[in-house]
Amino acid sequence: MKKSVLALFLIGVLAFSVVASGCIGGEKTTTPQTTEEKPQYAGKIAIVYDVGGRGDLSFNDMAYLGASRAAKDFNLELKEVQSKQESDYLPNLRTLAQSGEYTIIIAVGFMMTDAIKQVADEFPNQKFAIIDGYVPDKPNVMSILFKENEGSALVGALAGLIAANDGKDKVGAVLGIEIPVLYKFEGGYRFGVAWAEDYYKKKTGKDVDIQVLYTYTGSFTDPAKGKTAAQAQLGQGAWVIYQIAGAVGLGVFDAVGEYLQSQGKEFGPPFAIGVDSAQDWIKPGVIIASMMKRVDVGVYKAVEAAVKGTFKGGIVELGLADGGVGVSTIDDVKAMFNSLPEDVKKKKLEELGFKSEDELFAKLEETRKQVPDWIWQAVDELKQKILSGEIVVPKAMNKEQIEAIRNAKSWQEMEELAKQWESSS
Amino acid sequence: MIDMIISILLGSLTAMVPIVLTSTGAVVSERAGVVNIGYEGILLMSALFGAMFAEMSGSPWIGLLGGAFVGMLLGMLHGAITVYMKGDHIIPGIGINILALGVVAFGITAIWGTAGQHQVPSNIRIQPIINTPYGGLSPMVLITFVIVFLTHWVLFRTPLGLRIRAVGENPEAADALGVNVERYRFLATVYGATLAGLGGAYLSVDWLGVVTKEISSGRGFIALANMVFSGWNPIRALIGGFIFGFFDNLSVWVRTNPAISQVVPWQFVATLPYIVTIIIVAGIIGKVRPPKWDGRPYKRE
Repeated sequence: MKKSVLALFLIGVLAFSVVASGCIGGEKTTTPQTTEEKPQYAGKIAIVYDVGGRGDLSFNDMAYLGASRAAKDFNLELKEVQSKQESDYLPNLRTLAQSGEYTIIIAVGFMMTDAIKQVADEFPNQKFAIIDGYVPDKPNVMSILFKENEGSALVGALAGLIAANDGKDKVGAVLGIEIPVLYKFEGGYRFGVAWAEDYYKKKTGKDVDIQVLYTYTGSFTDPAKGKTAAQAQLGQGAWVIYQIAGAVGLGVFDAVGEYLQSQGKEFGPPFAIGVDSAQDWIKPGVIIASMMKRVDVGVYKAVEAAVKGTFKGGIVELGLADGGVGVSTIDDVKAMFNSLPEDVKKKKLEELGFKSEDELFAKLEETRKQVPDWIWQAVDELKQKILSGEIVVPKAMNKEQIEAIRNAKSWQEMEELAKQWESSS
Repeated sequence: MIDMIISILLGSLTAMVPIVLTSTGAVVSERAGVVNIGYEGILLMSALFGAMFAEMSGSPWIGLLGGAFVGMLLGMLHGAITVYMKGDHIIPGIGINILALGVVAFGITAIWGTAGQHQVPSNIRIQPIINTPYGGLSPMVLITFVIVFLTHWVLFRTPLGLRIRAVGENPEAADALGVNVERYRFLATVYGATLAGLGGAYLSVDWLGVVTKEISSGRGFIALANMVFSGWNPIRALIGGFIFGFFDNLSVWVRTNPAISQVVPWQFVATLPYIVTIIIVAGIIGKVRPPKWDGRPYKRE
């Protein structure tokens, strides 16, 4: 008996490893890929990806987009380095800094904050930039942050107007762990919804009062929590749900998708709104747009500053005016999609059930057409007003401030708060 | 109101499946005397491989079986170490949990080319038998009920179940009566891990339709706690899993309501499912006693 069981076990292990190697072996696992060596480059830049790495259709891919564009524009050689695990950050950065060849080294993601701080001290003459990490006090580190409140205000206006236009009185937000960074998103979103109420009233003469249902799920990783929260919000009448919750948000998309499926509908409303990158492609028909953090713009700006000699350590906050945040467009999805390797692209299309890229993009166009043009124009109007400085979006940074926004009755009241906070800081 | 009640009920049944399947498997394994804390890792890896098998074959049911198969292999590994090599019962579980974190994070990129997350195409997900806007009822819920009742019946009403319990309570006596202690312990371990594997594949090809790096989100550990609270009893584990799912869903509904979230901090409401489950289960069941030889390797003198 013992022998046969052991034999069975060994067969199992063997089968397991065959399966595992079968699906893994076909992929390239070489990490640092240098673009072809050509002597006429004006310089070199390096980019260090987070553990997620290329192919995440989010932070890392967008960083690549920005870096490759900058490399082309300024005739630089681009060195990409992948972090396999968190303990790789430090050695990766250190190796690059030691060579002293790079005009600037860019770290993608706030997880690398501590590593950057340490390496920046070790190599004071090397220029660094970190995306989404807060390093205010190093002369050789440029911290690139985003004004998420401004982008969130735009999607808030979009959500509010879609709800008002369909005669609904609730929109939702599903958030991750309750940390101050998320207050920026929530506050901006609330501002946008309140602005939409006012806009709708002026346009149609009808009074609307749109409530924001919000759920802090307490997780960034469990999609089930997002799904339950989204179902609860849909059940209580939320018509558009903005997810600011990392992987938890995938559950939000699924919940909205199932709602549509149960109604036999291919397109919303109700809609979901994505975050960080152009997530529209994840579930075409379900996701109306995404609040984008333009990591590519951040990376490009950092390289530009280093090349042109305008590099300064400290915080650089990119808002609407710098193109650092915004509502995703189909072109954004296209750019992201085209940065993928051909075979991955093909696989993604197959999984989504499309024959070609054009079909996918046509479906995304169709999704956007579910919302009348005047709503898109209204969102653009808000954008112009924020750009011109006519409207200031509040930036809630702590519990007190978000409570004040939650209790405010109108967007004008919120704007007052924004002005108070700005003058006091 | 009616929508809310239906949604909460469906939601609790849906959320219960992976926890109850894992708890039931763990009950059998521990009744036979083998502790396995690697269920978290088994859930995680089965979610990945379950989705992979489903997409390769084009059928979600094959995906579920594939997940169960991966669970079975991991159970055999655990069984071989603990039962036949008389190793420690805790360490291999820790190993599997850590292995799973790496395998899944790497596997998503290696198999599908995107990092961090993968959407399972909707045509190879299990279709619900009842479909409402705010949640559906998967056939897997019914299958879970069948598995639980069947396991309970076998464990407490058949000679096979008696032998399983005997090798966990008093392996010496069982051995003296001619029961092959090692075989029963090994098979019980494999059964437990297989059920967890089924639960893991359910996460990706049925309930959530995604594979993420941490999709199991502690359900393997919740299942172990649920097993203890149930007093190593499959039907009580089912009830415990349902109660937990129910209050978890209810708490989300309650705290999503803005009128309530202004008054009561949401963090408090979010802890309620855990507290209520402990109170109900501990209050009804009272003191529980693990199998006597639980977690101890048996070596013939």
